[in-house]
Amino acid sequence: MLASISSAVVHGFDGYLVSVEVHVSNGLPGCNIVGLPDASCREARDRVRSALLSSGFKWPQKRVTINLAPSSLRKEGACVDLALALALLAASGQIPIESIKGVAAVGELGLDGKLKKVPGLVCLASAINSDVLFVPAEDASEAALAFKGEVRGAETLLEIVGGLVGLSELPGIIDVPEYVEEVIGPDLSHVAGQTLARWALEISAAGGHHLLMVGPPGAGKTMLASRLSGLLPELNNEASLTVSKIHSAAGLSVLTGGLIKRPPYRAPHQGASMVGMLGGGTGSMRPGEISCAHNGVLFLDELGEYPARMIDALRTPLEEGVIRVSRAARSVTYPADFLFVGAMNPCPCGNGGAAGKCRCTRSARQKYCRRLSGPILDRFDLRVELQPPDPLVLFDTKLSESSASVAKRVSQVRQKSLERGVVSNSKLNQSQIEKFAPLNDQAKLLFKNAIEQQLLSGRGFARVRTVACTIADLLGGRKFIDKEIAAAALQLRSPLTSVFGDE
Amino acid sequence: MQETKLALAALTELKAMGPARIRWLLDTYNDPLKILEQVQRNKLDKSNLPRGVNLDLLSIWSNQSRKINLAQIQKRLETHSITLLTKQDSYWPFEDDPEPPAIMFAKGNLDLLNNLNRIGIVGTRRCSSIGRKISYQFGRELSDMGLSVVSGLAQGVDGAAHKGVLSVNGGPIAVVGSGIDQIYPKSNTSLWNQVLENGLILSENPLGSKPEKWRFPARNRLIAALSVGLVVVESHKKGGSLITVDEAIARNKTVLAVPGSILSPSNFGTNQLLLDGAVPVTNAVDVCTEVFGFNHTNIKKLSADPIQLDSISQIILDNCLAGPCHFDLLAQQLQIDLQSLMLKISDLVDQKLVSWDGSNVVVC
Repeated sequence: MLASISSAVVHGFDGYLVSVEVHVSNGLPGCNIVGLPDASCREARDRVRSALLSSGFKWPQKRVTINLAPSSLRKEGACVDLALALALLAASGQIPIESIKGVAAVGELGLDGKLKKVPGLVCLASAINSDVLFVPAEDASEAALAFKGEVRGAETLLEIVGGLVGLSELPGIIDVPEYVEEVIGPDLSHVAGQTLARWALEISAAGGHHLLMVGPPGAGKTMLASRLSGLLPELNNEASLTVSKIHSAAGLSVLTGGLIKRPPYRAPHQGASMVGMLGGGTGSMRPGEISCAHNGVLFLDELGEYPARMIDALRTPLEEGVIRVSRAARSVTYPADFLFVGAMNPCPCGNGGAAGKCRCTRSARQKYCRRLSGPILDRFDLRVELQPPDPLVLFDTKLSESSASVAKRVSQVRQKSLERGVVSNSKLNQSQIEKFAPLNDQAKLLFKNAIEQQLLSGRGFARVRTVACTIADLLGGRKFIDKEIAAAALQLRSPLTSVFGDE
Repeated sequence: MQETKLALAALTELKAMGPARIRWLLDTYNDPLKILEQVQRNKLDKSNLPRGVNLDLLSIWSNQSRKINLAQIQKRLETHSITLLTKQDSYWPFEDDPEPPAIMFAKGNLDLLNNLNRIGIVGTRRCSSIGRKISYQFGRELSDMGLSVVSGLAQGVDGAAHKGVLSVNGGPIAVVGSGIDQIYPKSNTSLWNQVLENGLILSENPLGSKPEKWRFPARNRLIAALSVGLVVVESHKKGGSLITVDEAIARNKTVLAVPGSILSPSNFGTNQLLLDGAVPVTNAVDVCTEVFGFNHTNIKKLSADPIQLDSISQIILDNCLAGPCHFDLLAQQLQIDLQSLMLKISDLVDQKLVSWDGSNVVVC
């Protein structure tokens, strides 16, 4: 007898519908799985066999052929276990075939018949188009977010089978979890002083401009960066689903309630591997940190401590907003459109050559800074140097401006960007800049001088104009980019000669 | 190009052949071409060798010199458009020097050597930002008064002096320790090219000489030899500029020093010089008064037109005179819009009064 049921597998960060077909016929007893399963998927046979037996069912003493269609797609992981068990029960006549009509199932089986959660449930559920979806109860709400029909979460195989044949109640329907306002994280009001860096942070959030902060230890670089995602507006529905899918595929917990609404903030450690950072992997492909930071913030603290090769590998994603991970077996394109924030000390000892304080030799400083190549440096639209806060400011009990009030200005600028047809001002193209942020004569002259003095590259000029546009939006009420704004945009893109220059 | 000059240039390429040894050869044999021939055939008079020259060295010279091809040297000099100067030239600035170079490689505007009112500006490579500013200012003012400024195209004080000269479209003279085709330090490449364009670079080292340590004291002696007066801007306790000072004293040149804080290591050397009797100077007029006498006819009056600044710009400038001043400090002190402050800074940068370094305002 033949039975089939829908399930899904994750490929990249998308779920793909898989039809699990089981055929039980006379012949030499045995079981074959066809349809390009990888090792972990092939092992399903043994898991399902034990799970059936321990749940009190029989394993047919017949010839069993299992097909995972479409056979062109490589299947990984244990997410088809549950579907396989149900189809096998139907095909071997232990439950009626009609009972599994319109049913889909995703989940891993333990040998005792218990259901276990699988990574990427959001992606899997969004790929399936059935009436009912059975999933492990543990993270069933994740599936409910992306599934159109009813999602039922069960603890064991027996619960589901009992419900299907009418011996007991079907496992309960899981509702879409109510959205819980996420805690926005630390507040900007606790950052003392740092006028310039705060301003740069606001511009960065408002216009999506990559930000580099250089300064001695303890100046507050990390503090500032961790407050950036709190300044960004909430994700829209589409972005929210994409981010949730990526996080789900990466095996990160998606839920505090509902899809991810807050822009993610990722701060991988310097010890991260190339694959961990960019995505990939030998067994199953997994999105890397830069994809987990999609639509959010990627913060690399101590930028000088990361391998130079890794930093340089960020160049293409920064430019294109995606990362193409290619392996012998296959290649996957993950979205990776993130706001890049870097922080570093000006030299290994952190005092940046200050007379009497810095303990680094010239060559040690140069070596430290050479980790950051020119092209990467050029991609930071905002580069500021921080200094340790004035002690008087630290004793000031008056709170600085709060995240909420800055976020309000940020969201107004973002709204303007949306009206212009882009997510943020940093995405404005040449003709759009010309249209929305024309320069007046004085500003033109200022930029011309900067280009002549080789302070600005061609790309730099285009970038600095988008920053100027953001500053103008934040200030409001200006028709042209005037000299004031141009000067600010230019100086916020400091060449950091004291750190990266050669003298 | 004259063959004798080329032969001299060829001799400088030999191992351990310094100016003193070439002078010895010239004194003994007179004609450079003949010297080259004798060296090649290892036929120098072996009875009367100076200290340090032995038979082994002579045979090394012989081997090396046989590979020398004068036409090739000439071609190389021509491609780099380098002129050779010897004491036969009218430009020769080392007429009465006790240790003149045998030959000078020169590139740039030779006419600058016609101005005999030469002031040397020397100092440490590791100078403070104030030292850089002072050096820049001296270079600028001296050049503006029609004097010729000589320095060594190194980092720190030297480079700043050249930049000061260039800022008033003057022609800086640089004496370098490497071969004239070897830019050193590499970070000075753009300055090096600017000096070539507007001024003159001199070297007594053959083309291709690496910037070896021992070449620099010799270079310092040339700066002292070229200058009528020597201004030391900043020097550490045992700085290389003190070698230049010794050379200047040996040549009876006036040594002048800029006073500095007694707490700053980069002033220890200069302050000691002042104690030892060097003349304290604070600006270009002081230098002229001391070296040439105040009413020297060749000297233009310092074109004094102090720049008028508004109050905010003046506060910015005052704040950063003592060292780099961070934007936050200015913002806190002035309490004006951040973008207005940026504009003020930008204007000051345009006037070349300050520079924007990192997020600090630094005096140039």
